[in-house]
Amino acid sequence: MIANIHDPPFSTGLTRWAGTLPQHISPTAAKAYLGCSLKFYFERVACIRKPTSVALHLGKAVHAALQAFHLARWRGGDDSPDAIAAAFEKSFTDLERDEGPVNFDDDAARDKAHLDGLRVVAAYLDSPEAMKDKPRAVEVLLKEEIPGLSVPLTGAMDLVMSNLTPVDFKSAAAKPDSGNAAFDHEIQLVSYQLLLEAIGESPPSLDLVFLVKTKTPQVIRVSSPPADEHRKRRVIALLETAVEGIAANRHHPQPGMQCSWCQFKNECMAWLPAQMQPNRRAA
Amino acid sequence: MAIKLIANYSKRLGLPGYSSHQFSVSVETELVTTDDIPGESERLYHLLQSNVDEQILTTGFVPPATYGMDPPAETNGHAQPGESPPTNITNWQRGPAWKCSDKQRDLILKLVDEHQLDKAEVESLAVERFGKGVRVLNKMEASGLIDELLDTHGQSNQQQGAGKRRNGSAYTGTNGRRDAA
Repeated sequence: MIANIHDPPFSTGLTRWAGTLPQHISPTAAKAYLGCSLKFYFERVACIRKPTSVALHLGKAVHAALQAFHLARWRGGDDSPDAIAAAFEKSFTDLERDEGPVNFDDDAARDKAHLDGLRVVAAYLDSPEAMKDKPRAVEVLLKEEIPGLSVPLTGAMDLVMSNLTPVDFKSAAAKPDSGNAAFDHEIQLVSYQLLLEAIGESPPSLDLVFLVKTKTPQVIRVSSPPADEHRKRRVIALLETAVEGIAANRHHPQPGMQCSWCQFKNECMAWLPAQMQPNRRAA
Repeated sequence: MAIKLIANYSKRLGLPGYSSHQFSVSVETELVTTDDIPGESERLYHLLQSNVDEQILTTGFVPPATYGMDPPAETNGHAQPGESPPTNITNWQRGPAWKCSDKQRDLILKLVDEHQLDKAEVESLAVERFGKGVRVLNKMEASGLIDELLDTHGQSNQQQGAGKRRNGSAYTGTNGRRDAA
């Protein structure tokens, strides 16, 4: 007899942390926590502000432009290249003002990032991947209870196509490895599937669209089939592991390649286990 | 005389909403001697079991929590894009149960009330965007409708959507934590 496929992946007995559970868990937060729990602490618990990286700033502005395009397609608005370029310009400037400063080396670096963004948005609009039909949803935030998770799962989907395929857009400096892309973004993609299934929908595919900022920008779609029960349980277990760690206030350095470009190196160097203890008791 | 061996493997699994699905596979084969029965039975059992397991992973239609709650006299609110909405749509107190969350339902009704919106126009908007009436929009679709209503009526900064994503405040130790619900 096979196992009941609806069993939660495991039970962590989180009731002892009931008072300190996060409000929810998102795939982005879970991936951040599992990547480096101490960086997660600095960013999302201690809320230490750092200058926004150029890549993040550009990614947000490009996302805003694509959102404007998809909303225009959906609502019958102005989806001309000029209108979408204007949406990019506005977002690029507004984000600098509202969430800045951005870590530009100099004005030339800012101009280059700005131009890169316009080129990559234009490449998307010209590409076969640009949304032709009306989407089902644009930039939709869902929050659902998922069996096996101690807190609700949240996720903001960039786009849900008319056939219910969730699409996430990724800005990238280099062409992605299609074979690894779905694995690299497994938590996010499967979380979207779990959220859609929780509202009674079944996505036929889980898609990533990479906007590659090469000299000639490229737009590459990577589609993967919906997760089977094994993958779903695996992702729920990963999400729950993050919830457990956050609830237990378990934050420690996780040395690796990512430390080379981490903005919290100084804070990390100062870290000692005892520093976390007072917070844990207070939580 | 040929010896006939008939093997059947059946499995029924439970699904959400008090439903279940079942699948069985039967095969018939001929044996030369009764000595082959144990070996052939074992082979067939594993073969049929693996095939049933492989197929039964596909659940097909699973009824949502609100399945069957629509009053029989009403339409379920579905309409194809471009079709006219149901004629009784201006009365949202009647008809199928709301599929979106209670908060979304309350917000839609509040927006309609506060901005004195024409329910028929809101219903038409839902049909145009999603091919179905307001009451049968799921959470994702209701979210899209609310975003558009807020964008149109100038309160998008008070709600989610419109490009506004949540930050990590749910993880701070002093703010926003709560008991497990």
